[in-house]
Amino acid sequence: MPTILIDGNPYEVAEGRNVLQAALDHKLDLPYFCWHPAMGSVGACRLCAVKHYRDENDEHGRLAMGCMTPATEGTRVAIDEPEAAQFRRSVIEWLMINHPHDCPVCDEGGECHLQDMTVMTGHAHRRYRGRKRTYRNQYLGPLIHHEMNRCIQCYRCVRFYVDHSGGHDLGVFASRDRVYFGRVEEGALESPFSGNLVEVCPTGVFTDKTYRRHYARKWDLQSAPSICGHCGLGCNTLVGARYGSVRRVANRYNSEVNGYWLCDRGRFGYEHVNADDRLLKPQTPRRDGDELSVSAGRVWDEAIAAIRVTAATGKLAAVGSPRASLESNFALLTLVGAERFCTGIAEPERRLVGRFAHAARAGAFHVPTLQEIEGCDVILVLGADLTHEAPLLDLALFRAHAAAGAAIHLVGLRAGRVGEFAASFESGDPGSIATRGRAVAAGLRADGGEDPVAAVLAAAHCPLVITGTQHRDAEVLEASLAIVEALRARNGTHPWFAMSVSEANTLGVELLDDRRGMSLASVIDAIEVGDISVLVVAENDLFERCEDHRRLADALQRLDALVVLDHMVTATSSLATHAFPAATIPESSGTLVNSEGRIQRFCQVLRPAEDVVPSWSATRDIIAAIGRAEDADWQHLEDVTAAIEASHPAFDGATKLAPALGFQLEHQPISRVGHRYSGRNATIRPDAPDEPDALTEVGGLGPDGALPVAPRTPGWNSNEAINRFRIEVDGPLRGDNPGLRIFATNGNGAHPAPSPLDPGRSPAAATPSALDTPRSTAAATPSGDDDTVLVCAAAEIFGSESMSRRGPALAELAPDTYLRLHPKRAERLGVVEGRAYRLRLIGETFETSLEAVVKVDDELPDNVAVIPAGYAETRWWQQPTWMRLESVEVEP
Amino acid sequence: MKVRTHYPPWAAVTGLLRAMWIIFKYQFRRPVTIQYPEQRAPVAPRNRGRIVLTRDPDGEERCVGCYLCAVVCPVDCIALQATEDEHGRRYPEWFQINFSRCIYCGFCEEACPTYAIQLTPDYEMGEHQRSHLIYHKDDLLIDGPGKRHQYNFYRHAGVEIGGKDKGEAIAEEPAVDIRDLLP
Amino acid sequence: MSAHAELLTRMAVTLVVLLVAAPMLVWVERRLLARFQLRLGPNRVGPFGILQTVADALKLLTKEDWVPPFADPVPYVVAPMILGITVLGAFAVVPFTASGAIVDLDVGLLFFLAMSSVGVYSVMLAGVASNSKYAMLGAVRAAAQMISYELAMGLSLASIVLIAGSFNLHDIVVAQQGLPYVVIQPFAFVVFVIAGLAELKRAPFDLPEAENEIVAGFHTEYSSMKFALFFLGEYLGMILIGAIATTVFLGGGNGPFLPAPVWFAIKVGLFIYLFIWARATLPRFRYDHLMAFGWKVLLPVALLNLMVTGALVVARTAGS
Repeated sequence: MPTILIDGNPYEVAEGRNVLQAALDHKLDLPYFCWHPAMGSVGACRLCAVKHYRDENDEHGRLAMGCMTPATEGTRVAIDEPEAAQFRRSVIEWLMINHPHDCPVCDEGGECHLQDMTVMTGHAHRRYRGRKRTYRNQYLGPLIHHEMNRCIQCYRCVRFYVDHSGGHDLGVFASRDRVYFGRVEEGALESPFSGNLVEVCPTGVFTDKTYRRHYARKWDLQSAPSICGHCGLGCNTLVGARYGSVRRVANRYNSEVNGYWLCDRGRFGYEHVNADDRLLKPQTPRRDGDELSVSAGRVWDEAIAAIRVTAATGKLAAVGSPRASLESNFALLTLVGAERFCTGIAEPERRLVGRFAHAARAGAFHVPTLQEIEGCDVILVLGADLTHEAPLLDLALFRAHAAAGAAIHLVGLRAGRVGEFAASFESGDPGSIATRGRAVAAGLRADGGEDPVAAVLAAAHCPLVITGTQHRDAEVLEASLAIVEALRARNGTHPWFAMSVSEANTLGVELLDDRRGMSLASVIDAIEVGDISVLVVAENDLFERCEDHRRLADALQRLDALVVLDHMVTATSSLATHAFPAATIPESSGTLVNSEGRIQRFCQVLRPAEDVVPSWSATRDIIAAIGRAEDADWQHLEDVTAAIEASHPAFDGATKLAPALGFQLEHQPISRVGHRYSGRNATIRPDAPDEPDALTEVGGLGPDGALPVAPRTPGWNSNEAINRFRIEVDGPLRGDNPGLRIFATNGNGAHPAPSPLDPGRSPAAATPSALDTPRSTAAATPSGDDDTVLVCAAAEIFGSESMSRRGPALAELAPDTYLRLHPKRAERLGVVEGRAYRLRLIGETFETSLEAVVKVDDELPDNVAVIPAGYAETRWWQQPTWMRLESVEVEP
Repeated sequence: MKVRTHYPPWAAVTGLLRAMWIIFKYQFRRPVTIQYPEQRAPVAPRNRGRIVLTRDPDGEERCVGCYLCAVVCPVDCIALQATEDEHGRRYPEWFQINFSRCIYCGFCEEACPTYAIQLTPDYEMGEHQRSHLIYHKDDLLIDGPGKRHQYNFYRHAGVEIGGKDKGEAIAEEPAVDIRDLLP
Repeated sequence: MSAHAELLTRMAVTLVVLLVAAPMLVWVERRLLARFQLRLGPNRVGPFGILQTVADALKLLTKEDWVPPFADPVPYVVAPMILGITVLGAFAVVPFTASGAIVDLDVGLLFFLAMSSVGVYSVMLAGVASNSKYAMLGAVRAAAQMISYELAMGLSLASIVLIAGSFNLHDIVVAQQGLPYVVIQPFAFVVFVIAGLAELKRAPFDLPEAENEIVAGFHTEYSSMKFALFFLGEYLGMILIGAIATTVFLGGGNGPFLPAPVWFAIKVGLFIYLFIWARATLPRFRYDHLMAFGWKVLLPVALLNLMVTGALVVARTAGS
């Protein structure tokens, strides 16, 4: 490790660092703008000027940019030197010449890097008396607000948007001092990572438009570490709330998961928490019109009475949810027993996830982190549209491509954004994707062979196979596993394999159930034969999990009681006899397992409305009310987590993911708010009840390291303060707890290139068990009926996810319901591009209708029709299905 | 100055008598009592009393909802929620000050970047119910500019609002034509 | 008029005058104190605020008659009564008129001293029965202070008794037809006035109820009518000490032109003015100073005075 001299003091720095990084590593205050830990140095802003001395005899030195000066052995620099300090102050003064007088109305105010740097450099007096440059702003869509006057030309936005994340539609225009950062023409930003501009911009040029509607300063936000619940990746978020509503979601740095970034679905998807159509009171939706007249207590008593009677006769069952926490699912499992518990994952997906989890736990492959993926050199994406399924995986792929030159090969129905930088894209229906995968596997086994993809994979130093669950096709997964198996056989290493799952806890609930419980189909069967008379459903809309809606509705109507715990009004909750409000992720604490098998804890950010409780706690109360209190003797979430640990060894260590109950820092619990939180006494209010966990709403000190509730240190109010909380720049946080990896085949922590095979593990473990014989609907092509197409669903980043689409901003960006067809097929059907039709879709076992705009896409296979997944109109879709299409009428 | 440390024994008596005499003479001096409410103490114009929200010379609300008053308040008695109109002008959706907590320190006025929040000489704010001492925006907003007659924040800020486009503020160049390629 | 009727009339008149004068005195004190402090004092209720005490009395009367749950109820209730009774009782021997007191007692002066000694029990009982730390501290201070200063007071009066040759207050007044005793006995006069102030527990001797240390001292836990009784007792006490000083040192109702009761009232008024004046001027004693002054200054002065007086009286009787 080289030793450098800063201001005469020796500092040991890591190899390959520059002076700015070295200074920040050692928590020295050296101002900067354009440098970013993830995007590196460009030396554009001239702010990190230091005095650089040639050697110990050099008395004059010269000004040099810290970010451009390598910190090699013996480098001697001075930060605290008059000329350098004056230079930095002048840089700020020049920037301030045109910076508008906006701070009071600027959303960046209070967490503005420019404010911090202005104070840090000591520029306090304005000498310039001339006129300021102004710009016109652009409309950049419902997510990002543009205020170009504030720009200081650091180029961070385009460096992130274009260079770092592969966007196209943000650029730098014009010349001399008219330089302009924006789009060629007004319109919504196309990149799914546009929200990161808010955090990357050191001042207020790009701000969060949803936050703007209910703006609060950073110091007023009540924050707690949370986990994004809008896809399976489990990105770490910092949710900010104020006056009982969620105001914004910001990135929470996790060195192993999402780094500095979030996708727009995760960042702007929070609005459903504040939505008007939430379920906030216990209700009896099936009764006519008298919902409000029934008291909450009576709804509860009736539900308990029904459950108590049924629990005695054994006709009680429960459906959990992949979007609910492990604790909520475990509570339900405790209520009904493992055999009567259903995970609530749609059957086709459950098979895939179960297979994946089984193989991963058996050690058939290593599931890499997002950071590890960025280091891969050949990536094969088989049957996944990562942009829309798991956006940050798309970013990781782009980083692998842009930074390491990785070759990305796509085989799938739709290329998504990845297609823009992929080395190859082969389009096909799920059946042909699987066939293609098998061919690659065969090619690998045949030592490369003639298959180009197989040849590249075979030659790769660090190959990775990624698949997704969006086609719900077991054959695609089997083909992917075959490639992985072939790679293992070939290279003798643990191959790397990743699969995106659709929801935040899909993998967790599957591991919890461990294939012991009922499938959703068997639940419906059991209801029909009268084996289940009372069903408890937590945070799940069964209509999103089941194809035949008529049959499902009939079955649910047959139940003596359908008790639904959810935070949204869904089709299922509308059919409930008793519906109880559940807490959303920001309103509760819990544990989630992401698609990488990482157990992570989210903490309650804000107190929900009066009757809203977390599902696990409502279920615990049910268990106690039916006279089995000893089965669920849980006071706090920690007790449930401990019970899970005790009964499910897979989750061992889950209780250590968050500070233990009663944890104190400097004799105070960790505060959700900073000491500058304002307005505590503006109303006369009752005392807040005691906090059940280690976080409190008021008082207390900001944590240093372990849980950066809202990273800020004196002088560093912006999110750049994160450097103060890390051991080294771009490294893990001090006292970091990035989550616990279940599938770590090579132990936790940094994972180098694929390691040699562990001889103790049998490759046979990767073969499917007899329990889950894979089934592929797509494989069976029906007879040559010309009107029959394979209806597939494509995930849409804004729209397919059930919670985030309820927010107005993302709803605006979600495409209208479409039916995508090959031109020939459209011609045969007699439908025209761009027009709306009412369509009848007739399958073998059920039929349905759909209003959709027809879109023609000649990249699609001829025999496929694509609809958006997860929309209200298309939520019946569970797996690729051969259906006859009839366009009934043309909408005007 | 020389400080006396030793006194003659009769000093106690003479001191006492002198004190009695001084106080006796006080009886014939004019009382300083101001007979409120018939008489009123003269209050300086800058006396720190009831807080108001002022309007700019154009009659619009000056407050832009920047939260600086709320954060500087040592007793945390100010709360507000910022919002904006369809033209981008920021204003407080609601604003409340709990005068049962306010200590009239005037920090809010000092912190206010727009001269919106000002303390007035009015001190007659007695109420029978504590909740009546929570003043809402309706109670706080006055129709005049208060102490600063001319200041209008939006004439200086770079943001555009209804009636003021980019480049129309004080000391601003007209908006840059980004398609201009002249050197 | 029978002797009984006359006695009853005298009693009734004295009682009414005292019970009107005491509340008036509250108002007078507040107005006077205000003037000494450049204020106006209560001037709102009635003309010149004269009805202020009526309003205060009404307030006190209509307040809930409450005994704290931690107090010892019987002595708690009895304590203020003792004060009222002893102070009013002492007035029986004060010769307001030329014809003497209500009761022409030969041991009048002793009766006064006895009554004022019994008054200490009121304070002691109040403090102990209140069962609270401030009341207890106040009572202890009051007891120590009153015992200390009673001695000096008694000794200063003893020298007068020596000269007058009688304990009968009327006789003492008659004996001052020529020269009031203040001229012959200036030291006794000063000692009596100071000790009297201390007996009254008024500033600068108000340690038993020092607000800024022990809230309100022995009557901290008292409210409503019982508090009013303490209040009444204090102001009646002022009149009583003034009346005794008038009787013993200023020749009671003796004076030209005006009838005896008027002269008596004027002289008492002067003493009351002096008490209020002292309160407006002098700060409270420190406790050790209080004790030191009582035992090391007042008592020796009174003793010396008594010895000298005794010697002179003996010399004169021997000489005649």
